[in-house]
Amino acid sequence: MEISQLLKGVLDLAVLAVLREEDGYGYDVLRRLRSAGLNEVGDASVYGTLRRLYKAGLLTSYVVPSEEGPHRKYYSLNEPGRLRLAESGKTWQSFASTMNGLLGEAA
Amino acid sequence: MSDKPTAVRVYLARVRTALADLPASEIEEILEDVRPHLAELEAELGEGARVEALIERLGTPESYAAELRASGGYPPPSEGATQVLATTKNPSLAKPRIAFWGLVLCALALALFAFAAAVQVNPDGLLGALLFLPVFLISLFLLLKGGIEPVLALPEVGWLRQTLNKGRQQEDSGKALNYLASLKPAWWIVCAVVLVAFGLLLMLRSRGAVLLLPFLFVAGGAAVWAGPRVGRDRRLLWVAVPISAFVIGGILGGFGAAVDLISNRNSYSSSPSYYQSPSDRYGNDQLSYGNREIENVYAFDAEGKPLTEVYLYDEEGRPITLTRYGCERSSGTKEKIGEDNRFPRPKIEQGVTDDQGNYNGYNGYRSSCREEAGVPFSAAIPKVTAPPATTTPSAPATPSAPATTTPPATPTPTR
Repeated sequence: MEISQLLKGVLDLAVLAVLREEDGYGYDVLRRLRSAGLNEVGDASVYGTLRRLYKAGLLTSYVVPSEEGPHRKYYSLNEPGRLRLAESGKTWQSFASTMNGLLGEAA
Repeated sequence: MSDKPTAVRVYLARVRTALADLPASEIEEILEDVRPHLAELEAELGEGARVEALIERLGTPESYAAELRASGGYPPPSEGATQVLATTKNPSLAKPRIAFWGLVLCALALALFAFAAAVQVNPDGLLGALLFLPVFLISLFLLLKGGIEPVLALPEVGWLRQTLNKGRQQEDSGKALNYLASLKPAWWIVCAVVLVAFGLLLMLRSRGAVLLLPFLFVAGGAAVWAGPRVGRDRRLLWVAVPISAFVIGGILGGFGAAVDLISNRNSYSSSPSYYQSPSDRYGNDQLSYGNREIENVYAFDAEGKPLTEVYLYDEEGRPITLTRYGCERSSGTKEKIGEDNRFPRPKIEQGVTDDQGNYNGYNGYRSSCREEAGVPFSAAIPKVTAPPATTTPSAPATPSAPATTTPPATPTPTR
């Protein structure tokens, strides 16, 4: 099964998760996702997802000037974002355990 | 300046172009997220990196933009009208637009003509639909030549489909729409049955409709054939939509004709000679003379002296009661103030006044109303011995008789 197919449904959750501990700018988020093992995630998908979550009011942003190169726009999780993360996290846990149960013998 | 910023700039410029239909501020926000990443990538790739190297890593700017759109919940480029795209697309929009609106126009026209023909149960009404045949042929020609895709890409069609999809996703309207969708197969059968029934009904009324019958049979067959295939080939909408519109118009018209028939039958049984409602809006009977409605009655004695208070009764002693109108001071309109059988009534005149209270002046703006008592004309009553003569309006006999209020001179028969 294509991991990129699976990612479509959970990229929101993954982005919220990597912003839980620490704010990050776009490339940060991408790198954290990659280093967590999500190598298939597309660059543009992450930036698009960040914008969509921001527009949905789950993230706030602020700009930090950088000594070398362009300034960086940091995103941070706000209260609605944390609530959403907790909620979606629960949904994922129950979904994942259901799938594990289903696949118990097969896998 | 080195090559370094150039590659990023070129890449970003192309992304920006591909997103051009989005709000400028939103594009800026997106590019702010992307820019640091590209700068680092370029640093990684080393001095003199070329756009091609970036494309190798990230894909083309256009596909990058498409991925941004998809993940960011932005509309796909065809739906948002863009300045960049609009200029290049405008000329090609005209044809699909004519095709689409031609279909809409023809469907509306067919529905109207079918409605008219069904209400009157008269096939002649359908001849008018022939006027729209050229429109339909043009629309069909453009469709077959240009294909269905440009039509489906029209902003108005996109909006329509989006609205339908939205409705489908909502709980209540979604249920209703899905239910209607489940009725679709039956609808095409209904269309065929209605078309044939319509043709037979019209044929009963006029022989000329025999010529129409084959067309209606063909249309009925086309509905059954094309209807279920519309989902697969949208071009068949050009068959299904006009037929559906025709059938809907015909059914509504049929209902109208049935209601008409029933209500006519009722009025025939109660009062065969009455076609118009004989009551005014307050439910009082109205007085009529021949076909004319009479609002007021003036009576004169044998000397030609107007009688100012006369009570009228019919041959069975029932008062001839009419609604009495007066002026409503505040609004300046004619209002009901009672009902009785006393005549003549003051004449109610409605007009406008200005600030000085001038009636019907050039500057009048406030609606006003005034009552004029008295008789606006005088009558010459013929002597009993004299040969029959007519009453004639003559010079005003009463002080309150302005020329404008003189009613048309009507001869009054005398015995």
